[in-house]
Amino acid sequence: MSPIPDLILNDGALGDARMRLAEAAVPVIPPASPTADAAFASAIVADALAELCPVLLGARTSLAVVAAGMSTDLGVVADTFAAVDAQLAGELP
Amino acid sequence: MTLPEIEGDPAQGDPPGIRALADAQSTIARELRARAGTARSALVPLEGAAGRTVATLRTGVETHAEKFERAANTHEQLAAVLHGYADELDWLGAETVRLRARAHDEYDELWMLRGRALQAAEEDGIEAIAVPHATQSLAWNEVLPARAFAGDASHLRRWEQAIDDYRATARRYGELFRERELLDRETAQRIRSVDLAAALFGAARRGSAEGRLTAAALWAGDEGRVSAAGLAGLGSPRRIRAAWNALGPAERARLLESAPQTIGNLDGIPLLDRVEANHSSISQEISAREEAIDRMRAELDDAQAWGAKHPRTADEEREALEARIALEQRAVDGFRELLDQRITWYDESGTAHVDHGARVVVFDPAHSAIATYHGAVDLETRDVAGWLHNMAVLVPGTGTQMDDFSDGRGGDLARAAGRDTGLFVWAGGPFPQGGEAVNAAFSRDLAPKLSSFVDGIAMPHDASVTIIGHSYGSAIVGLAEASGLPADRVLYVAGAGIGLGNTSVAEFPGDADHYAIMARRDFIVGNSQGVYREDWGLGHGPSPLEDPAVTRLETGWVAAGDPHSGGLDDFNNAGSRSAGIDSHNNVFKLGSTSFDNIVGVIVGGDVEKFAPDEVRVVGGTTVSIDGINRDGYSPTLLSVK
Repeated sequence: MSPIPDLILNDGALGDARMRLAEAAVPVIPPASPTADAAFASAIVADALAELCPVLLGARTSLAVVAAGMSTDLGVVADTFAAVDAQLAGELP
Repeated sequence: MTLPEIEGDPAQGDPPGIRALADAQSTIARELRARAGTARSALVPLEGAAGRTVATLRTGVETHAEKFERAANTHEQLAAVLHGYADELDWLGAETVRLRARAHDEYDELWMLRGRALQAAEEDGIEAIAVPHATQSLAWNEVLPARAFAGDASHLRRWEQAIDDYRATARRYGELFRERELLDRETAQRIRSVDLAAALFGAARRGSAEGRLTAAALWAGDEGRVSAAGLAGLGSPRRIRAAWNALGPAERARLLESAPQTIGNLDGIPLLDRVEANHSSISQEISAREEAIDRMRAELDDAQAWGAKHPRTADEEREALEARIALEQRAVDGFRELLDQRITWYDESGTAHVDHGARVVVFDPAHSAIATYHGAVDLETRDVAGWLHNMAVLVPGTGTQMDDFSDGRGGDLARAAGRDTGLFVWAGGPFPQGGEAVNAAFSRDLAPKLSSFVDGIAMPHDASVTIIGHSYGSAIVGLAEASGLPADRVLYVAGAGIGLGNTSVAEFPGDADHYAIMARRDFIVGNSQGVYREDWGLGHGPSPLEDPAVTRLETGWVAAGDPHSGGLDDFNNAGSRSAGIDSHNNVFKLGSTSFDNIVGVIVGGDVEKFAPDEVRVVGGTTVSIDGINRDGYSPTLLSVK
């Protein structure tokens, strides 16, 4: 075991965590649904939904982007730890 | 069959379609909840691991999972609202069908009873009624007169009752439309009140679609998607400030570099960030204008082109071109001067700091807007220093142009007011030039901009705020204050008026104290004060000097406290013979009683009240003696708080 606590993660734990975060980063696409205008027959209700939905879509997209960013960052950490471990094991100069 | 007074469908819409929309929202919610679970599962392989990296990751993942869940909750709320709406529409639809069927039956009944009644009336044989003829012109809701039923009135009563019953059903049917309208309004309100909508749209629900997307990106922690236009679209200086403060240094630097003109003029952005952006914009503007000058000079030097023109035309065009070059050069020189200024300021401990370049907090050539700040700053918050005791905003008057914007007067006032005072000189848009000064349109346009600017400044909590309007600037200040511009003190300096449409400062919201100062024989506004026509948009409302809720201050001596220096109102500038014109600006003359009084209002010190003039009749002639020249004059001091 590595003398540095974080380094025990090199055996794939960080890579596993990274993959799961990447999975969480897949954007949530709404399923096909009828046109709101036709369904409501009410401009005031349709407008309220039309105002909100793009903002919620933006929020979901941003959540996905941030999760992807966390996954990428974790990948960098994992690579760094791997390199340090390799160095400690005498595999690298 | 057409039924009278029953038209249209109050239950119009497609409840199954709405439920499909609701289901789509539920699906999104489930997916988001699954994402939250997946994100949290990333922590499972890290269980038992210690260290800063893992701790940071754990916090980040947990926070992010909570956001996924909050978004899921929002979509679930939306689904519930839509399901509820579909249910209500179903109920309305059923009620519509029921009432239509009932109306149909009642209408049939009505016609049957009408037929029987008419038959009875005909059998009664009253010729005067001419029943068959009258029947043809009877509408569905009309009956024969009672005398037609001399034998048995019960037919008439049943007929009338049938009409009343039908009408009651028709009325109830009409009420369904009102219920639908209420349902639609309430549903729209519920949609707008779901959790994230309330958080991302802001309490005032102002701002643009781009601003809302920026709010969404910021909420999710996705700073890379925040744009300058999106920040501007947030709709209020307070939201802009909160958003800016939530950004990291890298993102702020990106926005400052990519959109200096937006960031530099955005109310709510911290002062030093605005200054940094505006210095960049000023440099760009100087380059653009120098290029324009080079082009015009090349045009001037093109002998061949000039030779081809008629000599008289050529002379006129050459003069015009030279004048344009001079104007551009004046602007370049003025802008360069702003960049070259050396600013000395003192922090709370009294340590001096020297900065390079004026604190330009507004610089927008496209809208002729400029403003500067004089005073201490906080290098941590990059804003006005929180320990300052006095804040002031000076709004200049007619003739102000950004091309030769001089903020020297503001610098003089700030220095005289002391290190614990911060002062802005603000000209946030086109000001009238020359004769345009009678037009109130400029003040109406500038007043809301002034309010937004002041609202965007992070005023120190314990500082007093004084708004000063000089000349035309007074009208701008008056209109802004009437619309809610907050201030502790307002000072009208040689004020053109308190704003067209206003009647007295006593009617303004807020509880500011009002002061005015003006030379006795101010030729610039002295003759036009109080002259206005609201319906024509001309003039600037009542004179502040005439308003009983305004305290007039004394202009006094050229050198404060020294009667031998002469009255400021009679002081001629070098080479000038018109004290009446000079005095309009000399109220700011450094070291004068007037200047000291202005400073006194800013810092809340002692000021001199206006000394009323004395009118004497000497040898049949009326003579007015300035209050400060009256026998035994001594100043009346007033403590500004």
